[in-house]
Amino acid sequence: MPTSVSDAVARAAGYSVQSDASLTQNTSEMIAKVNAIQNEVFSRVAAENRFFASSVALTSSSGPPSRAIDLSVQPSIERLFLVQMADGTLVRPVDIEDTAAEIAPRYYVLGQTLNEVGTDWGGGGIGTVVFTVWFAFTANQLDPTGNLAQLLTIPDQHADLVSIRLASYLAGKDVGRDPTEIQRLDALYDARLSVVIDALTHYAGAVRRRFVSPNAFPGGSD
Amino acid sequence: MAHTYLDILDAARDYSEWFDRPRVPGGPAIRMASDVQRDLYFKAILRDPWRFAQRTTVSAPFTLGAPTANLPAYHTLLMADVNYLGDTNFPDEIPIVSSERQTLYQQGTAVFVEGGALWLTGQTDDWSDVASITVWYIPTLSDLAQETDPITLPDGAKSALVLALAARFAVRVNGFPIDDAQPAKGTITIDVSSIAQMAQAAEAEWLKQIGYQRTRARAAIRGMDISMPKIVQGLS
Repeated sequence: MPTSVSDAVARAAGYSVQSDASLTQNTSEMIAKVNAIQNEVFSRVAAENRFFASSVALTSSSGPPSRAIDLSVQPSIERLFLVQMADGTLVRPVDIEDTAAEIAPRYYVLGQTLNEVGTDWGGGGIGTVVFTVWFAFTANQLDPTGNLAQLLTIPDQHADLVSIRLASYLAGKDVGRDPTEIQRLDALYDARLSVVIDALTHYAGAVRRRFVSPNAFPGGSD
Repeated sequence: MAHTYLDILDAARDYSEWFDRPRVPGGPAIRMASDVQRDLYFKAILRDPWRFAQRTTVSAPFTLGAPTANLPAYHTLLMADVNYLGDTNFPDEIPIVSSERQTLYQQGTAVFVEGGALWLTGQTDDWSDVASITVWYIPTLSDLAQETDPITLPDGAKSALVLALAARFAVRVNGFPIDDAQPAKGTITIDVSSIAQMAQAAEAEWLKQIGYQRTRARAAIRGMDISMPKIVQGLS
């Protein structure tokens, strides 16, 4: 059964006998915090593996002068890792200041817009193109103005991550608590997150790789 | 099987986990590969100019006193001959002369090149029975532009190409930080000289093959060296 925000909050409160109802009474605060924790978990996982991954076909603007694809229409994108043209050709990511780093076809991302370099996408820079965008996705965003019955995206078996992180937040919020409690909860969270990432990574089996991929240093995954 | 640039690139990346795309992006890689291929190409044509020779034919009518045809982009002109009207089985070689020597051929058939175009010497009558001119040349080598581009050098050069490219990759990434965000992790250390030595050995082996194959071709015609660029005769 999917975990709700209410479940996560109740479990978080359970990490300390000192957590009373006043700490969690602000519904909007609890939803926003749970949302942020979920996003953090998905972001960390996306840097290490492709467990939470999907693809979508997106159509560019028609140009000229230059074509672009609006990524904001797919709000669940956490991290792009592969962009392909309709025929499967790899479209390569570059920085706007160093477009010679890759060979055509190339793109650069500014904000949530994927932009064409020159006329790399063919057709002399004119006409729409359809790309398949592969991405690590983030959690479904919770509505802070909604209720606590909203469901988490993180799988149930790993939902305790959210509760532990929230418990640490509640401990910090409750002035006068023993500071070692926060340290203990943070250490517990780090250890648990490490286990979760390992579990999600080994799901795909022993993948043969020539290179470290995905990698987390600037430039993104390969 | 003709190789593509991607075949060479993949094989070069295999030499080190540090030759991944983030550290050796496609742009630097393809520029290095173009240089490597051109370098081996020049070394090969020094040993056998005819190895990569191509021909182009210019048919009558010809123009005198002006360019008669534009030549394809070439590195070296090797030879030219003429085919006669009604007698196409017996072409005659004609000199390729330098532009400043054209006046020595005011009464004969020769060709010279200015600005990439073919010009004819002599008078109209000298060319009246010529149906066409064939020019043999060593083409220039274009830069690689796409991963699907075919490699110009023959399959036998694959190891030389791959290792030469890997050696350049090694020079590029050696000393890179292992992790930009965490300098304490240290820098990449690659045995550059070992890869360079393997590259040199592969190059020497392939050039030896070129020389051997050329020697065998010459032996088959009893010592006549068909490999010498005839431009030398035109200048003599």
